[in-house]
Amino acid sequence: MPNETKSAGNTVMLVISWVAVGVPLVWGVYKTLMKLPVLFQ
Amino acid sequence: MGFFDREQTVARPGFSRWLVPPAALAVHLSIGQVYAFSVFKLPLTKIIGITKSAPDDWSQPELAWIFSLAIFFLGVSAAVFGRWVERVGPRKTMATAAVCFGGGFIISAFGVWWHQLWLIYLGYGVIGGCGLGLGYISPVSTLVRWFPDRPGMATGMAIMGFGGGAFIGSNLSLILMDYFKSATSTGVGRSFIALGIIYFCYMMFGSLIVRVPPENWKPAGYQPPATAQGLITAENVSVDCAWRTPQFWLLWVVLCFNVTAGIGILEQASPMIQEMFPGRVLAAAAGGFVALLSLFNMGGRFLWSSFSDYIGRKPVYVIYLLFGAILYCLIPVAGRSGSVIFFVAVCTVILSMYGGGFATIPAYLKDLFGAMQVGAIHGRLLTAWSVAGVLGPVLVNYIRVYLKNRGATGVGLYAPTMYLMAGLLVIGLICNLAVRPVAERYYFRNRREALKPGAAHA
Repeated sequence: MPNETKSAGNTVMLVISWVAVGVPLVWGVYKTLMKLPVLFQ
Repeated sequence: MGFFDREQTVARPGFSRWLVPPAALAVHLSIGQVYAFSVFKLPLTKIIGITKSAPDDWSQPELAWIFSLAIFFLGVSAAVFGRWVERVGPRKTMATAAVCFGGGFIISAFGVWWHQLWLIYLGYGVIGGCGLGLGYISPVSTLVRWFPDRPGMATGMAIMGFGGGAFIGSNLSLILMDYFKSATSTGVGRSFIALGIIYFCYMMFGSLIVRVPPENWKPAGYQPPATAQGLITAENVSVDCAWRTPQFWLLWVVLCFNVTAGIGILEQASPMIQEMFPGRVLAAAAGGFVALLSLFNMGGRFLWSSFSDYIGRKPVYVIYLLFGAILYCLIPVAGRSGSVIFFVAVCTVILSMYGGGFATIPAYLKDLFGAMQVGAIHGRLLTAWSVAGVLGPVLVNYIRVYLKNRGATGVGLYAPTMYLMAGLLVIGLICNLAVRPVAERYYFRNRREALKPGAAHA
């Protein structure tokens, strides 16, 4: 059943894919969080 | 057989289903840029004047149509092309969405350079809007099939990306405009070109890594229900039958009113907090408030939708709608109390449930109608979003102007609208409570045929 990671290539693809979507998202959220402190000043 | 055909995307042994959420996220993080389109509004009013608007420059009301057209065509294309999406599969759909969305930016860049607003309406509004609709529904069926044990979490993750795309889109657009601007240009045209290329490539990446599960595949240890369990059906309903059921229209009203109320808050968040707390919350702080709401909108999509896998779809919508109605009634109380933190806390929880309402609906549809054509059914249901996108801002804006003309100030400008929104949520709650399992006469006639991939065209 193709539901588990069974090869090194698959693992590499998993890491690359999650990094490719995770990094821009974290960057966008981080840049936005930087704007928040002024709200509670 | 072409590379983009459904048959080419069937997963081989050893494929991890956890590669599918990044594919969906790549598309949704891109098309979520639409929520950040407002960063272009001011620069687009200075294309000729550069530093300030010239008489021949476009006005803000003219430019507002770009976003409205995009959202309208999102709903229309999702509803019209849903069956096609189910038939051709996620890879071809994502690639088409990439061409439309990226191409929309490129056409709009020429609209900026030639100062032809209709080209931007056509590019970003119509063609880009179709890219939004196709991209939005493209991964839904695939995720539901890969994660039959946790459909709420899977679709919530993708739809969270649509909320998160605004954070990337707004910051990236500002960086690009700053890089491309000069003494003779606002940099919008070149920014559109860059964004078109970046989003095209990013969405194509999602299109390349997406896979559909083999026929009759199921996760290890998962046993699909042999018979209906409460609202969760063991059968399938085709899209053409689904929208004739009362359940479809009950959920249509639930989604429409939940979104109407949430958009009403989102759209007026900045002026509302400044007018409720005059002198205490200024424009910069209000900008931070809007950003905070967007974060909760995004987080709520994943968390609430995942939570629905444990407590069920109907109960989670009871929470959204009942608790939401109470919170809307608390907004005027928070405003009168003078506590900014209380006000912010109430609004953030409301926005988390607004996002949750968006993200949980595909799993609710899967429970009621089965996975066979859930993407197409979801596409038809998104027409509720198109209606709510007009209804929410119109209600808040017109009631506010009416009250202002009658001398209302501060909390008084918004309190009646908040009670109205609470009323809409109560109507949604009644509709949600009225949802019952779909009657057998709507089931797909040949169950074995229905379970075949691509059966949507049958």
